[in-house]
Amino acid sequence: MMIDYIKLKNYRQYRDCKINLGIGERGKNIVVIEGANGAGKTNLLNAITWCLYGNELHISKKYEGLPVINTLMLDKLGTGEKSIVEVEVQLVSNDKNRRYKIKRTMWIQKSETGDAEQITDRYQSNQQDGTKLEMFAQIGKDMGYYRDPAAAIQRLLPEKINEYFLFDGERLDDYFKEESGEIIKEAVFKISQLELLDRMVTHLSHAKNEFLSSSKGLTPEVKELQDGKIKLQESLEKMKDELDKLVDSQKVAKKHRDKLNKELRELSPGNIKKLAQERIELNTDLSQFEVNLDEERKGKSDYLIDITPSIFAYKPIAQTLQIISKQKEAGDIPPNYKKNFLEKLLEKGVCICTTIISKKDSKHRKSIEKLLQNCDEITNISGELIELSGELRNIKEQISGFDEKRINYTKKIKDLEEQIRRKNERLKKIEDEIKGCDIEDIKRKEEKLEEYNNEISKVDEKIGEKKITIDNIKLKIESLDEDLLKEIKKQDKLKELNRFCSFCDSALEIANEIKSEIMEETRKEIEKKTKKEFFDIIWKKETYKNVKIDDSYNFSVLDQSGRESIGTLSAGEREALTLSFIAGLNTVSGFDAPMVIDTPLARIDPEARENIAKTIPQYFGGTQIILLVTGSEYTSPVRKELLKNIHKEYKIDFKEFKKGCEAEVMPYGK
Amino acid sequence: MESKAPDRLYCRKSDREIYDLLKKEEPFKRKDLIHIFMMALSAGYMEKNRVKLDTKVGLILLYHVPREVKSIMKAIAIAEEDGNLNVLLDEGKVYSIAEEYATGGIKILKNKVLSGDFGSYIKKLEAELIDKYEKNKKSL
Repeated sequence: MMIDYIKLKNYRQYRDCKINLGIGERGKNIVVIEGANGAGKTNLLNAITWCLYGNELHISKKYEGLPVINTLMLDKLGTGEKSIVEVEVQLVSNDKNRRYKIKRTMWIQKSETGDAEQITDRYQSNQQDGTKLEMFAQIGKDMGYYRDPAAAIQRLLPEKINEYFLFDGERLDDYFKEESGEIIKEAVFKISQLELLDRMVTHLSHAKNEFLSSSKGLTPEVKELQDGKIKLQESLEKMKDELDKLVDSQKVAKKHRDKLNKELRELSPGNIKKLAQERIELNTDLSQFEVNLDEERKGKSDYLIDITPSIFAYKPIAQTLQIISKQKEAGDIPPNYKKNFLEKLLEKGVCICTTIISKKDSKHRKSIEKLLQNCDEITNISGELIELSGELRNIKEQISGFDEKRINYTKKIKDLEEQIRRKNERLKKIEDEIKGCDIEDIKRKEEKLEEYNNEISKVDEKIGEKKITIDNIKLKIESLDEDLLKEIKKQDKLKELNRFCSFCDSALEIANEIKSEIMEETRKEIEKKTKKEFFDIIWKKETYKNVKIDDSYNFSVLDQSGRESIGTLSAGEREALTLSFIAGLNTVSGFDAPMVIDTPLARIDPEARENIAKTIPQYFGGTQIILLVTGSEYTSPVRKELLKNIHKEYKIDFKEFKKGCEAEVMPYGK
Repeated sequence: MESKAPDRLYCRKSDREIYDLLKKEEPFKRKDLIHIFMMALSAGYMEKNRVKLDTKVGLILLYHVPREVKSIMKAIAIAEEDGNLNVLLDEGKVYSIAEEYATGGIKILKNKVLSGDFGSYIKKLEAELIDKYEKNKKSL
């Protein structure tokens, strides 16, 4: 079902205006009407509810007490002159096969005091509020006029569930802000269309009691039993009231307790204990870090002392290496003969080849003496020189590694110093936190918490006692009922009463069972639809895991770790959840109703607006969506997101004069 | 004249107490006398301050001196003798040169260590080493 058009005549700021809405081709199901605050968006919503139900369900304080007629029109009327206020809404089925034209008219006459007086004569009104309501239907080629249009409208779009298709976007947030249980339960109840069953239960109970009352005085026993039952019922009602009060007072105490618990969690000795423990650990760490730092510093200092002679003596080291290297290149190191070796040969008088060289004129001896003359003493320490060259090369390598080793030490020392600085900072913070803790305040709060806990457990006991008392009274009533029925049964002429009472009891039982079943089924169905919608459109899909409505109709959004997240949802996510829920209700209700949402994006931040705008076309499965938005909601990015689904766009042109105001709905951009 | 091969390193009699004093100060608390000796040698060598020992007293047995340290002393001795390796034939001379430089440097070292704030000596030493290292870096 969609709204084909709305025609307004002299209604509030609308003098004479027709707004074509409808649905476009290829899924273009959104109509946007933009207007500044106070321009008349909400009054368009009011015009629809006024036309359908005779009530302006969203009237703002500004218009409260003002006549429905346009004040400029009223001003133009002379005293005693008449005019009409008229709103006409045409609804069309999505297949365009059925059309319903609904028109509400109110006749106004200007009084001598200049006020608007409603004319309520029988020719010009057919409703209790003095307005005239007409409804025509065209189904295929057949035309029809409804004799009871109000009832027909209730069948088409029941007033009691109108808030789930004609609603104020700013109130969306209220669904999940506070404890949602009661609101959700009410919504499920309304959507489940259980009023009839509820009325049936009430009627059956009344009928049974009336019938039982009518049997009073038939027998003395019956009268006595009935008096006893009435007293017990009075007492039962009293006990129920007391139980309700106890439950309420316990709720309040629990709220206080939770608040205190939260405060104490932040301030509690437990927390201080934790801080103190952290302080101990930090101190232990610090000692260890300081030891390590000292070690590193000593290590560096030792290293510098060890390497100093090498670096300071670099030049002689390099020079010596060069000299030895040259001698090696010249073939002097290692030498062919060591001087002391030749001397020993001469001294022993035997050559290495075993020739005797003891005679001074020996040819061999002379050759060795010649060699000895050319042999330096340094040849005796050639081995030492080779060793020295190796040692000095090692030292040179150590010098090469100086920078890297020194930087390593410095870095380790700096790291340790930084860690010690951070730990000291944290230690100071902990000290300050511990010092800043008001132990007395904690003590007071803990005492108060204990009081609340005691109170809660006492009330718990009392609630338990009350429940037992209530059960006992119920048992007594049941037993009295049995006695009473027995007494009544005794009387032949009360046999019919017995049958009726049994019928009432059975009917009551069945009605209650059906009610529970339907409620439960609807709850599950809504839970399923809401979850589907929410996960289809939510932009942070990986954050959440499940959406649930529990037996008490409390809503839960669980994150990946199974934690309750409803309290931490952003305004945008809450709106997404609420829209999912509304979409769920809409589907489950079975009513094919268009959605009119006033200021849907007002309460959410610009980024979330785009996310919601992106997802709005996906809700309600192609149902017509009429968005009444302000300029600040309908930003370029939001418009861009919606554009491919927009069938029509309008802007409210609002003018204010001294004696009233006037609004026109113009195509967007003109 | 070739001197007798020594079995120990000597210092000036009057300097002995400086060694003992420095041994009790940071950064030498954990170090041996040979380290103080080599630091004094380095300081004297840098300042080109070679002082003959008028009176001498034994300081460190050469048996305890690492080979690496002895090699540095030998290199210095060779440099002092204008690159003549023959100096190594006279062990006594090699160590005398070292002792003379250490004597020239021990007071410089003492002043550096004991003046200034705690830890400032090591900081200054590090800066000096970086400077020397940077100068010689290319030829390494």
